[in-house]
Parts: sequence; structure tokens; C-alpha cells
Amino acid sequence: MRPRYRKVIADLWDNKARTALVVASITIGVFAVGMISTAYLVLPEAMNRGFVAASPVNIKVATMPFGDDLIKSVSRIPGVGAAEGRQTVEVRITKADGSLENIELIATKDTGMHEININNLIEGKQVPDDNELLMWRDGMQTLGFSLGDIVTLELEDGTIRKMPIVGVVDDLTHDNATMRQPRGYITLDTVEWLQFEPIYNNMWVTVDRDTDDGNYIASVSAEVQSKIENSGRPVFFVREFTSAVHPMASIAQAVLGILSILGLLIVFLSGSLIANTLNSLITQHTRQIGVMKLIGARTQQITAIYLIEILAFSAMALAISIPLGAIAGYELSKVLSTEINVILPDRGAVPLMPLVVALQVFVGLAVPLGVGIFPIRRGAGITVEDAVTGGGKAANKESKSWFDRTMEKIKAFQGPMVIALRNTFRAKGRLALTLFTLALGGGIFIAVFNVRIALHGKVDEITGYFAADVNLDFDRNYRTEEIEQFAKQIPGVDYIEGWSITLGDIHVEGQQATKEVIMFAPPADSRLIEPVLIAGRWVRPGDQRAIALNEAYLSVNPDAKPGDQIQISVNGKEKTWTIVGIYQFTGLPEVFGYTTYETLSSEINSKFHASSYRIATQDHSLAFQQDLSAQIDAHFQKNGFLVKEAQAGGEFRETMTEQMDTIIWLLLVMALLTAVVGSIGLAGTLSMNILERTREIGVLRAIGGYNSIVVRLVMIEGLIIGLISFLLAAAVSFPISTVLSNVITIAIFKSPADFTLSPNGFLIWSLLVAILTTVASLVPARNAAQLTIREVLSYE
Amino acid sequence: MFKFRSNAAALQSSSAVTADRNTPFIRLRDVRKVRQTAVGDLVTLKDINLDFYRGTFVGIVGKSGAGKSTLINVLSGVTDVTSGEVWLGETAVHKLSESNRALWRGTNLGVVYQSFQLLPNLTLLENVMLPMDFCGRFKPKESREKAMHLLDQVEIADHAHKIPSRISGGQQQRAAIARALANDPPVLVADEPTGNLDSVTAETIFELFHKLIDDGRTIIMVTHDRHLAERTQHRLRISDGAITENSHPIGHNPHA
Amino acid sequence: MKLFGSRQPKAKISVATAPAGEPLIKMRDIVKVFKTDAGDFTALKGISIDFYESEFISVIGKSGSGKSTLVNMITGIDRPTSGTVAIGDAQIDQLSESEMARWRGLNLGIVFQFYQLLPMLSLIENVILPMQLAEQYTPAERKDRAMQLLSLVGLEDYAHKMPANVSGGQQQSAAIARAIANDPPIIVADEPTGNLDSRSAAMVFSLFDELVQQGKTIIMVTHDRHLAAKARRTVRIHDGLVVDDGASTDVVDLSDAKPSAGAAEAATLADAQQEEVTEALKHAT
Repeated sequence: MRPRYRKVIADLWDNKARTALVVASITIGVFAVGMISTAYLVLPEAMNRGFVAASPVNIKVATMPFGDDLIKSVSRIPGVGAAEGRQTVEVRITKADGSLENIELIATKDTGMHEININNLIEGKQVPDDNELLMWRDGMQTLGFSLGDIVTLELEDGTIRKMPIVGVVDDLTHDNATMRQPRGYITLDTVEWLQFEPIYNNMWVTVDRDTDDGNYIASVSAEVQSKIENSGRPVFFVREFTSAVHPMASIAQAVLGILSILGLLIVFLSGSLIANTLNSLITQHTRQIGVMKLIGARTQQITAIYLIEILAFSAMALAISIPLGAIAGYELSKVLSTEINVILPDRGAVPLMPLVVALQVFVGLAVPLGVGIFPIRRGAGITVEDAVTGGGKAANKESKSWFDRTMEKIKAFQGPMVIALRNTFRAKGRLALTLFTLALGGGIFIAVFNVRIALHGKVDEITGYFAADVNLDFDRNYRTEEIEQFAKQIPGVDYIEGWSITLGDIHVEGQQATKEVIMFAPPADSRLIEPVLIAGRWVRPGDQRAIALNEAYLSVNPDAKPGDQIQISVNGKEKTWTIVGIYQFTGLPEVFGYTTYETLSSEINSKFHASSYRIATQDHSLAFQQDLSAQIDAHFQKNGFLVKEAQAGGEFRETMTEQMDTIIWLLLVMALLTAVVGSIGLAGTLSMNILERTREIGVLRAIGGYNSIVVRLVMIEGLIIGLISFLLAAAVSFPISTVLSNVITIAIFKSPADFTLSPNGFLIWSLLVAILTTVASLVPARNAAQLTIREVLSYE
Repeated sequence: MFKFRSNAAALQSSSAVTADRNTPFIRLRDVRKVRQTAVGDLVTLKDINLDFYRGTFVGIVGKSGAGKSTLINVLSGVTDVTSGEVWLGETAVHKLSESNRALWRGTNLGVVYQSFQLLPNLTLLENVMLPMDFCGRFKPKESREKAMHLLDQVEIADHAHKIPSRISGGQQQRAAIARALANDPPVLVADEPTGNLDSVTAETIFELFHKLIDDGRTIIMVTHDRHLAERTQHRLRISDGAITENSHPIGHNPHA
Repeated sequence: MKLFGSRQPKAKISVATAPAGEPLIKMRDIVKVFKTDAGDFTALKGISIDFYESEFISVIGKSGSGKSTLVNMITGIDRPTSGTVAIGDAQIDQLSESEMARWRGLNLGIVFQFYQLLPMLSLIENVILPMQLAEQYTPAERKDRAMQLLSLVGLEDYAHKMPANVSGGQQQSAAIARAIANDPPIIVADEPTGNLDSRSAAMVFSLFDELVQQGKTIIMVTHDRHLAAKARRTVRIHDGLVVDDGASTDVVDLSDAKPSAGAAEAATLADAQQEEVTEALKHAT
């Protein structure tokens, strides 16, 4: 092998610490890129594929009971892909903790083998037998059951039925985003056992193509409805859905998009780390370069040698980060996917993807070469004279600036410590890079804490619509006065409001499809709702058919604004309503609307009656709410009321907060990665500084500098850098926090966050920096103290 | 790239000029070197006029800072001249770019410094092969053989596969000399080559030098030590950047 | 700092003195062996020598003779493999690195061959530094004293300049001023006038003479015989042994000059070397 390549190998092998440092710096960045790109490519695609493969329903029609022949004739309609009948019933189930909850049970012809909204079997049986229950996995967790448990169901008349759970499935269509109601699947015969009619009352249809075309689906739906009506059955209501893309796909992409940006930042930061280390490498090799030029090497030959060294570093880093990035990216996808019922394809132990590998190779080569070319050119261009005589010509003019003079007024810097102060600012380029890395890393770290508060604030805003402690629903309307009377008998109940709730269908101009809207009507003087308005105003007593819609409506009609008139069909009658305002809700696609109690109760003919009640309790803790929900449930049942469900209001907030926290944890991991890069940078800088100043340390010892002076000098340098970087990080965290929280909240909630500051971020980061600088200076300080003078002052 | 290669060809042919001992091989004319320092311009070489012949042992003496190192650097192309001419054979060294000077130096000149300047993490053999690698004169296999031969000539072939820190100072110096001879240069330039060696080792080095002189090479040596200076044929003294004594001024042939 | 091994109780570091007539520096049976990858190398082969107060000593020898190694034993920059070094009451070879550093601060001024001023401090700050490290003089006194020392070597106008902005000779003079900052009883100088013009060199030597008169011990290392002659006592080292300790009249002649072809010319050169250099190197002062 040619000796110059032997030199490359020797350079890499002989200083393993430095090689490790450079390789680590490159690896971090390339790893981050690999991890996030893998997740970006795997997750959304798996989401959509799984969703589409589950054959999600496009048209749901509720009508009078029907049988298989109607299904057959509907399925022959051109445009229809498949048609199935469903019977959906609700019963009450006793949870593992003894409280009662509503469960929706779905039955179809071949339950388990049905072809629309296909289930994914997790464990147990795919197809339940009669009187057996197939449970939805999310529901299992909510209710607290496991496979094999026998559950107790309570029918309307109080009869108890017990059923074993024989299988657990996932619903890949994610049909139940917001409300997360438990669901199970049973056979049609079981329906009868549960005292319901064993016939279909819902027709579910998929279209044969263009599943993303609302108009096409609407046209097919119209045909289906005609067919049903022609069979002598009225259509109660119809719902239509596009099914080309997973409902959560855009959120997943938004989150991954943010992670990508952070990943790029990490690459950027690690680039500055690489620059520092390569700079130091070249400086240390100045003499050797001079010798090589002395014996005949030209500048370009020297350049080539060091470029090859960089390529070697890159190769080593790629060997580590390509497989690691793939594995981590896959794990990341798994973490994200458990929230949203997605099955990931099996890609083997190391899921390599060509696009990701190509990207990693590009980054892993471009960044080190890009930053390394500068010190290499500088080093390779050095003249033999300068190199061999030790480059003694002072590069920096070492003059006292006004900055130095001001700093020296500080008492702490009198005496020998002024050396530490000036040393910090000697290698300005290196200092700048280190500060940049630490400041940016710290800024992101602090920002993550601020973002967390912002997100929680958003959740608080939203749960302002669920400000009730207990939500009580009955199977039928009751007189509000009566209910209020009974409610007040329970200790702990503060007060109660009767709300009117119904489903409506919005007829959107220019579109054939109608959009379902869940309409709430609280009493005019309701204390249990705190709306956050985006446009217009809230509904007021005296408003005639006024409605405030949530921001999901803007996806249906982006031009919607207060003052618009829309056609809504309530209780079978289509009338003109006026939009008075648009309010901020969860960002999920379901449309909700609020109107006045007077309006809605007259539309559905239930003045002074309500089936839905909101109760405020004296204690607002979740535990108290849950406890009181159970008490309320029991009390009303005992008194003969048909209770559908009594639910603690805090549970919704819990769920949302959990989802937010998942995102926050992800951000925190990225922030920690940047912090790691920053601290490696600091340790590297301090070490390099010491390495280049061993002579000065020797001189210091020769003129009386004992151990603790030497150590102190190093540590103070570290502390100064730490302090400055902290101030910079704090400053930079403001814009980062703003941008980051807005991007996330707009992606999820479609509206920006209020600016919030959390002292936690600053405190924790300041602590971390203090620890980091201490640790990062300790080792070099130790080494400096232990150098013997003879080693450093060896005469030639 | 191609222009560069033809330059290289031109450079390499200069050493193939006939080995005529009676024509001055190295010529310096009115060489001046001025250095800019923090405290003003410093003239380190003033009006240097010198002729050196093949097969001559030249000794340069002078106090520290007198300009010996600068003169050596000018001769070896490490430093360019502020004005004046430096000729080696037919090559106008003063006109070469820094990069070309490196190549020229690698093929025409062997340099030996007081501290041995071997690359610390390569073996002796690899160190000796380096100049051949950089100047591209020999194929890898040839250069390996040649390097072993050179190490043998300086009697350290047994240590060929050791790195410099594992051998003594004297042996390192010998390795440095072997390296200096790698490309068969007609000139050897040495700055205090025996400064760090004991008298016995120094003697061996000197015997080697004499052999090289007999072969027709020119050896230009800088030294502090008067004993060493005594053993050279052509002696000159530099003081304050000027030649104050010259045993063979221009026109005076040491072989005559 | 407690983190770095046991915190040694501050050994009583004081200024070294010796009773009248007794040597200040006593070196006994000093042997120094260097272990290198190439085998053991014995740099000092058993040297015993004394140095007294009020003495100006030059130590001369070739490179590799061991003169620097011997002097390193006194400065504590290196430790003997065997043997003892006693300076005043202190057993130098027994002190830890840190204690040694403190001891040096009070007792030793070192002038290095390559000046070694700290580049980030101005000349006057460099001179003040040893005083701060050894906690000598009050802060106000330090500044005054530093200015005085700098004027002694002719640098009062350059006190606030950085080392990179002054000439080599000026740096060397500043280093000399630094070496005497704490008024140490012993000064060790390695080629202290190598870069100075004759006027500055003369100034330095008269300074040395005065310091010696005040009772100081000055040890100068050089390979220039002419300079060595300026000291009252010359110690010659060759191959790890003292061949002439300057105090006795026994001289071992180990000159290896052989008669050779150019003997006459060599003699001329030797004489030339012995002449005073009339025009020293120009330094833009």
C-alpha cells in the first residue's frame, strides 16, 4: 500500500479519541436524518394503506328494518362496490371497576368476516359465536377487561346478560376518533338475545372507485337512497365519507414534518462540531504537512490525503448510523402508530429503505466534506517555512479591546483569572461555533417546555366546552325540572343544566353530499361552556335559528363566515339557519354546532324537556367526578329513569392531554439530542484549547502556578462559555418557542397558540448547562494539572 | 492538470544534466530576502552571490539569527526570494510557484534537519518511501525495494518496520538521511545534522556524507560546531544576512 | 481542589537560604535514566556538585551532554532517578508537582531559551503574574515593581504591549524581568542573551552581576564559550558527567580536535568565532 494511504490509516487509528469524536458528530446528524425519514416514509403510508385495505364505509343509511334482498339489490347499483347491513344497539356494561358505561354493539350478517370496515384481529377468535363478544381493543383498555373475561351487560329493562370476550380486534378505519366509545361485535342472533330486533337497520355501502371524490360518492348515495325508498322504507338519515386517506394522516405528517426540521437542525449543529474537530486536526498536523511538502508533496496531494481521511470518518459514521437510523425510525413509527391503530409492515430486523439510505449517504458525505474543505485548504496551503518552524507567527494580534477592559473591572477577574477570561476569547472561530451549538441546542430545549405549556393551554381551551364535571344522558327526554330535583338530592352536586342535543345534516351549496353536524343547545344562561371564537360571535337568547359552528366546518366550506345562511335538516325538516360565529375546537374533522335551547327544543319538539344534562360538582378532581358519576347513575336508575350514561367530564381532558404529551416527549428527545451535540462540542472545544496550550501551562507551572490555579483556569473558561451560551439560549428560545408552538397547534387545532412562558425550561437548562460545563471541563482540567513540565517544554 | 504534468516532466529532467564537476551546479545571484514582521521590515539576506559545485562538501557557519537557516531555506526552495536568482542546473528555482518548488525539491534535493522530521506514525520504510510516492518517480513495488536498499546503506535495515519513537536519535537521523536520498537527488541540504548526536554516531554520518560526495553529490551543511566545519571543503560564514567569509568565492573552483 | 487526589497540607514553602559558607544548592549522586522505546538512556551518570549564594555559574556542554538535564534537576522540571537535591531546607526531589510549582514561584526565576511569555498578557502583566501566583507584595506594589523591573531592562515604554507586537530581543528582556519579579534567590537562565544586541546583552550581564552582589545564585546554561567566560565559575558537562566543576583546579581534557587538512583555516574560523561580533543582528527596537 502506498505510504500516503498508510498515513491515512495511521492518523485515524493513532488518535482514537479524536476519530471517535468526529465519527460521533457525523453519526448523530445522519442518525437523526435516518430515523425521521424512515418514520416519514413508513408511517403515513402504512396509515393510508391499512385504512384503505380495511375497506372503509362511504355511505351509511339509517332506515327501517330490512333484509338480505334489499342488500342484494343495492349492491347491483352501478357505482356500488359492496353493500352490507348493520344493526347497531347500545347497552350498558359494567366496567372492571364496577361503574357503568355505554357500549355500542354492532352486528352484521357474518360478523367477523364482514367486508366493510374490516377488523384486524389482535388476539382470540376472528368470528364470535352466538352470545359471544368480540371487543374493540381501545374499548378493552377503557373498560379494563382482558381476553376471556365474562362481561355483564344490562339491558333496558334491567335484565342482566353475561358474555365472554372471545376476541380482540382493531378498527383500522379509526371511525371513532373523538369520543372513543367502547365498541364490540356480536352476531345477529345475539342481538335478539339482547332483546333487540335481529334485523338490519343500517345499510353500509362502499363505492367502487374515486373514494376521494365527495361528489361521486354523493351521486352513488342518491341512487342508493332511491333504491331504499322505492322499497317502501323512508330514509332517516344518510352519512357520507371519503375514504382515500387516513383521517389522522395530515396530523401525523405535520408532527413528522416538525421532527424533520429539528433533524435538519441537528445535522447543522453537528456540522459545526465536525468543523471544530477537523480544524483542530489540521492544526495539530501542521508540522507533518510541512515535512511532507519539504520532501516533495504538492498542495493538492496533501488536500487529497486529508479529504480521504474525512471520507473514512464518513464511512465509519454511515456504517453505524444507517442501520441504527432505520431501526430507530421504525420504533418511532411504532410509538406513534399505537395511538392511531396502524399496522406497520414487517421490514425485517433492519428496515432499510433505499431513499432513506441515499439521503443519509448524501448528508453523511456532504456535511463533513463541506465543513472540512475549509480547514483542509488552510492546512494544505501552509508554507513549509511556517509549518516547520512551528507556525510561530502570531495569527491573532492579541490586543486589548474595550470589551476586555470592561470585563477586567470585574473583581473576580483580577489576577491570574484574567488569563482564563482572555483564553476564552482567543480562538474566536471555535468559540463562535461552540456557542452557536450550545445556544441553539439550549434554545430548542427551553422551547420544548414552553411548547408543552402552550399545548396544555390549548387543551384547556378545548375542554372549556366540556366544563361540566358529569355528563348525564338518558334514553329519552325527561322534564328538566324533574331531573334537576332528583339531581339536587345527591350530595356533591353543585348545579345541573339540561341541554338539548341532536343530529342535523348540513346541505352545503354546490355539493351533493350533506355534512352531519352534532348540535348542542345549552340553556341561555349556561355556566358550563367557555367558547373560544375564531370569527363572529356566540349564540344569544332571542336568536332565531342561529348556529355557531366549529372550525371543522371550514374544511367543508372554506369561505364560510359569520352571516352566511345555510340549510340544515333537523328532525327531517330542512330549514335555513344563520351562522353567527366560528369557534375553535379540537381540529378533528367532526362538525359541531351550538344553538339556543329555545331554537333546538322547538325544532325537535321537546320544550322544557331534555335528554342530556350537564352537572357541575363541588370538587372538580377526576376521581371525584368519576365517583359522583357512578352515584348519579345509580340514583337515577333506582328512581326509574332510563339512564343511558353518566360520564366524568375530566376524562376527555385526560385523553387529549395524553396525546399532547406523546408529541412533547418526541420533541424532548430531539431537544436532548441537540443538547448532547452541544455538550460534545463544549468538551471538544475545551480539550482542544488545552491541547494547544500545553506549553503555556508548562510555563505557568514553571513560574509558580500550582495545581488549583491551573485547574481553576480551565474550569472558569468552561463556566464563562456556559454562561454566555445560556444567555444566548434563553434569548433564542423566544422565537423558537413561538414558531414551534404555532406550527404544532396550527397543524392539530388549526389555530395558533397563545404565547406562554414556562420557567421550567430555563431552570432545567441552566442546571444542565452548569453540570455540562463542569463535567466537560473537569477532564481537560485534570489532564492539564497532571502534565509534567518536561513533557510540555521539551527542547528541540 | 495536464499543464501541471508537463511542468513536472520539465522539472524532473534537470537532474539528468551531465555530471560536470567543473561548472558551478548551484548559482545564487544578488539574492535578497526581506521579511515583514510586527516591528517592521527585516532584511534577512543581503546581496548573496554564491557558486556551488558538484561533488563538494559545503559548510556554512554563523551565529544564531545570522541568516544561516534563511539561506538554507532559499537554497532548498522552502522560502522564495524577494529579489535575485537561484539556479540549480538549468532550473530557475526563483521563478517556480510554491507548489512546483515542492515537486522540484522532492526530486532534486534531499533535506535533513537537526530534528529528524520523520512522520511519527509511519514506519522507517514507509517514511523513506514517501518522497518517491509524492514525486511519482517509481512504481510502488520498485520504491519499496529502493527504500530497503537505502536503509541498508545507512545500516538500519533491521529497523525498517519500526516507527521512529522506537529507535535512537542516531538511528532516526540515519533514517532521515535515507529518506533524503530516496529520489536520488544531486544535492543534500543539512541543517545541524549531527547536533543531537553523540560523537560516535556523528562520525558515522560524516563517513556517509563523504561517500556521497565521492559519488558526485553536493552536500550543503549548516553548523555551529567548528570541528564539523573543519571537515568541509568549501566554507563560508554568514553574519547579519551577508556572506562575510567565503573560502571559494565565485570563479574559484574547489576541484581545481 | 479536593477532586484531584489528596489535598496535600501546604508544605511550608519558604525562601531558601543557607548559613554562611554552606552551599545553597546541594546535589548528591544524581543519576538520571530515561526510558525510551529504544532502550534505557543514562543522561546523568552520578553527579555531585554544590552551588553557593552570591555565585554566577555558567554550565557548558554539547547538546546531549546532559547540561540541560542537570539544570532541570535544580528547577524541578525533572526528577532524578536516584540521588538528592537539597536547596536551602527543601528536599526538591521529594516535592510534589504542585508543591514544586509553589516553591519555584518563591525561589526560582527561570529564563527559558525561547522566552515563553504568556501570549495573552501584556509585558507588564507577564511580569506581575509570578507575584500574583506567589502572593507576594500588595497589588499596588506589584504594578510599581513590575514597571521598575521593566525599566531595568529598558522596556518601560513597551510595558503595555503584547508579546506578539515586540521583537524577540524585547521578549527575552521581558522574560528576564519576569524571572526576577519575586526577587528569588536563584535564577536559572538558558541562553539568556542569544537574541540580544551587544548593548542589551551588556545590560543584562551587569544586571546579573548586581544580583550576584546582592547574594543571588545565577546559573546560566550555554554552549557559547565566550558567554560562559562572563561567569566567574564555569561547569563543564560531557556525556553525563562533570568534567570541570569550576571550583577545583583539576581539568580533564577531553577535547576531540584532530589535526585535519584545513587546520589553519579552522583556526582562523575559531578565532573569528572568538571575536566580538561587531554588528549584531539588527532588531528594530
